[in-house]
Amino acid sequence: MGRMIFLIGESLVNLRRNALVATGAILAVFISLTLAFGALVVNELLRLNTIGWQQGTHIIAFLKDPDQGGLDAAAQVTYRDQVMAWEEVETVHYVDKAGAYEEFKEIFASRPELIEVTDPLKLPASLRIELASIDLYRDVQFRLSADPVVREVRSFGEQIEQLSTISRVLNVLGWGLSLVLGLSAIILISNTISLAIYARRNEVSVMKLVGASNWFIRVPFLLEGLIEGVVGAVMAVLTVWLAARNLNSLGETIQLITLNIPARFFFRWGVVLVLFGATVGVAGSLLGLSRHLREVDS
Amino acid sequence: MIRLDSVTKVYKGGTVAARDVSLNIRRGEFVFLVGPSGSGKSTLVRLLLRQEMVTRGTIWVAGKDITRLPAWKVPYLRRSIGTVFQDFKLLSTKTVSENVAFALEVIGRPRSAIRSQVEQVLELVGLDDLGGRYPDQLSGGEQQRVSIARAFVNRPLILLADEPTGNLDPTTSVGIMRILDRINRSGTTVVMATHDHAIVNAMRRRVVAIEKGQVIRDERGGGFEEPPEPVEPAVPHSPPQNLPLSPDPDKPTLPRMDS
Repeated sequence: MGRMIFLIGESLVNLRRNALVATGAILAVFISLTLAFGALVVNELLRLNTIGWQQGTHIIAFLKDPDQGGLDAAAQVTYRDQVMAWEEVETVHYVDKAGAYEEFKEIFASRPELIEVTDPLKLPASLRIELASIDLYRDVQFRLSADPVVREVRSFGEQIEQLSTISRVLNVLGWGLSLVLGLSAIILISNTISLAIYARRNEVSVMKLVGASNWFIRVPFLLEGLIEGVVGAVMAVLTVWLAARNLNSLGETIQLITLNIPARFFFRWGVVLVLFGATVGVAGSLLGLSRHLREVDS
Repeated sequence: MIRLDSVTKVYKGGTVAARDVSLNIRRGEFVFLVGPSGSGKSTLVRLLLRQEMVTRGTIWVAGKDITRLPAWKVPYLRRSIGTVFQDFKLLSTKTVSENVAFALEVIGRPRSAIRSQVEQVLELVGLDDLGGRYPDQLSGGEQQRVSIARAFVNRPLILLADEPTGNLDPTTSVGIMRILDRINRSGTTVVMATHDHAIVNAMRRRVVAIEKGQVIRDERGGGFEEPPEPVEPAVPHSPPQNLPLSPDPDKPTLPRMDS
């Protein structure tokens, strides 16, 4: 116990003496892990939201009115049943003109003048289609577009694909930057340790002379790196968690998308990132020790 | 206690610091390694501490062949050897007591034992009332005494001193030698590298003279002749007449510690 207190005391002395450089190393870990964790959070948000869409409507097919060469209401219901029979389709919900007008009124509830000038008969009936798999959206979209009774086809598949692309780009960017910054954090921590060894070369030299074991000499420096890595990682986790909490309150006002990430996600990845920060810190320390400890006169 | 068998040390670049040195030092001996600067005295000290590896030969310390000692066991070797250097190697940010205690802290001694051992050793070197001072508040002689206290606080089997009086005036040197003598009388083997003729001649202990890396003389109760001065100095050289040091073996004017 006494030895542990002595070793922790020695590493705190190191940190105090190299406060500025140690701060730089902590910030490097912080920035690197904030980017990595940020990328993870964005990815999770996209996943949560696309899951939400996948469970709802994927394609909307607006139908032509009879005077435009389309079907009457009864035939439209029959047409819905035909579409429902397609194997790519999971469910189809038919929204007639009255239903479309009700939706319109809901959406534009804050603009009564718009509702007043809108003719309910001008709003098209539509089929709200949920696919068996979102990957099939192109096939269904193509078949519907080719049908003369369909006025227009809108698909969320494209948005989902775009979001997946954005997610992939963000992932690559986030992890790439994190990797580069993580490496620079290791180098910075290694430099901090080198400076600490230089600042304490007399102590290290005396420790070697009086027979301190190698691990006893190394532990304060390893602890110093560990503290820098862990502090940087904890700061990153807290920062991203606070940012996500603020986003969540913003999401409540937007309503269209969910910005609510479960607490267990933050806990699970928070622990992983803190462990990663600790590893970065120890790796940096070992690098610094291997480079400079032997140079101290033994 | 210490045995060197045909030890040779060649540094990178080809400098031969020790050439086929054989030496046997018994437990409790006080041995002076003498010779001019660059003769190889310090290299022998470094070899005994395993700060350097031999190029050829074998070194035995306390029954162990230290040339074959794995690196992780070197700290344990050093715990049985106290070291004193010309430049004291004290930590300026620690007090006298902390400097001495540091040697015990880093080898994991319990705090209670550290306190009592530090008090005892500071009393031995006559610094028991200066434990709270920092090195820069002490004279050179006092700093060297702290260094000796740190070297001896662990009660090592061997004490190696590399020019311990090199930075001190003759009067202060006498004080340091009295402490080393006292430590030797407690049973610790003392090996001291020096080129201080006055001290060697006053102590009359075993003298191993080294020149160009070779042992040229090994004499018990020996002296150390001053090399002839190339130019007559304006002021007479050491030893000063008013010091209790004399090369005359019949007049052991360096006071004995136990008397």
